[in-house]
Amino acid sequence: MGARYLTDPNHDGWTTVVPDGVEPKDVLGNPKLGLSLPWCIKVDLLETQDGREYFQVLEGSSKGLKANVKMNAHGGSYLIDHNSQTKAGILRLSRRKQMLWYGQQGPFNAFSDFSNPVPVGSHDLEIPDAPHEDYYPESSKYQQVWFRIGHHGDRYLHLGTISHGCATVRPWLPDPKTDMRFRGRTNSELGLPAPAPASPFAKWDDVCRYLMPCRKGDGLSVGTLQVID
Amino acid sequence: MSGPYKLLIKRWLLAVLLGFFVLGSSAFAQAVLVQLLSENKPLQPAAVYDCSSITTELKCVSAVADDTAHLSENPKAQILPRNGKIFVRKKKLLGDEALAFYIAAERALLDDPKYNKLELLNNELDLPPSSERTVLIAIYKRPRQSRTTKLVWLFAPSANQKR
Repeated sequence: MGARYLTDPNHDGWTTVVPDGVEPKDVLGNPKLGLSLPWCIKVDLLETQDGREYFQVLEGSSKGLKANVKMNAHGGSYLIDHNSQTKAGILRLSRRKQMLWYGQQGPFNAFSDFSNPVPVGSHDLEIPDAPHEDYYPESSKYQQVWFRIGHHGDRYLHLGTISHGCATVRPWLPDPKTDMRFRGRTNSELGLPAPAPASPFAKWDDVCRYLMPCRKGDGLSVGTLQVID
Repeated sequence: MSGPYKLLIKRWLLAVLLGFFVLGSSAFAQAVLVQLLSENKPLQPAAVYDCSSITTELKCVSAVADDTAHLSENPKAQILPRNGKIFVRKKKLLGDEALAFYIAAERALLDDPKYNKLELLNNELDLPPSSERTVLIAIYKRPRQSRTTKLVWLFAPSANQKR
């Protein structure tokens, strides 16, 4: 039936669908049995039956998997044929200045653990794989959307205040003197002292809305992160 | 049935129902099988993952990402002190062969995950000293289910080896 693109019905970047071999009622009872797919992911619609659409994922970490999703309450589809994917996204991170640019926007406040930073160079940023931990629910609806840096390992571009070597986009600047949650943390993992004056804080929702539809064309990546010292 | 037995059954049912509703059905099924204790106090895991499978790098395959390498980035993460031996309490239905423990330096998980298997001897684990924050994981296949549970605990560097 052809290519379709997943919409963003929950406005948080993720939709849970039912993987092949699992009953929809089981996923309803335990969403962890489902398959989480990111907004804009390209799928091949195979058939529509009994109010459900059956498809195969065509890109990203779930490429090749078959799944299904029900039609929405009005009988409409979460899978649309309008292609909103755009060209590869380009982000730039200055480690020393703690600045991040995305597209034509920036600089914004971002950093990487001083003692184990993202290596200097150009790295692919992957299509989001699955919803990540929700440490900052008050800061962004898209905060569970993380983009893996490169194609192996566990470094990500994501929202955060503590870094272990990711490209960490700050929602705000932590103060270990007044905020008990940061007591005992090293300056290195907090990226402190931050350069003055501090860059403005990016809205992570806006970063995601920019980056999630971007495609590099390799079936894996949304674009590239260029890291300079 | 006599009074004391009825009371016991009622209490047991109440505990099960409370556990089910407070923790949720899935979490309750996982939470009761393995518990770690140090100095007679339970050690709270930083994460419990419900996995359809486990990769060769010991990552959980699930509808949510396995963030073992990032759990201490949570400002509210509970990072446990290293206080000698750790006692493992597990349900009898979980055989020794179904349960395995592994440790790794948290930092190493970012680029090149290398776990070492930790032997369970007389229901005790011995965490080796380390100058780095350590991740301890327990992995077990749930009896009579196709799912696997992965529990993660975070430990601070050894007191005399902090960097």
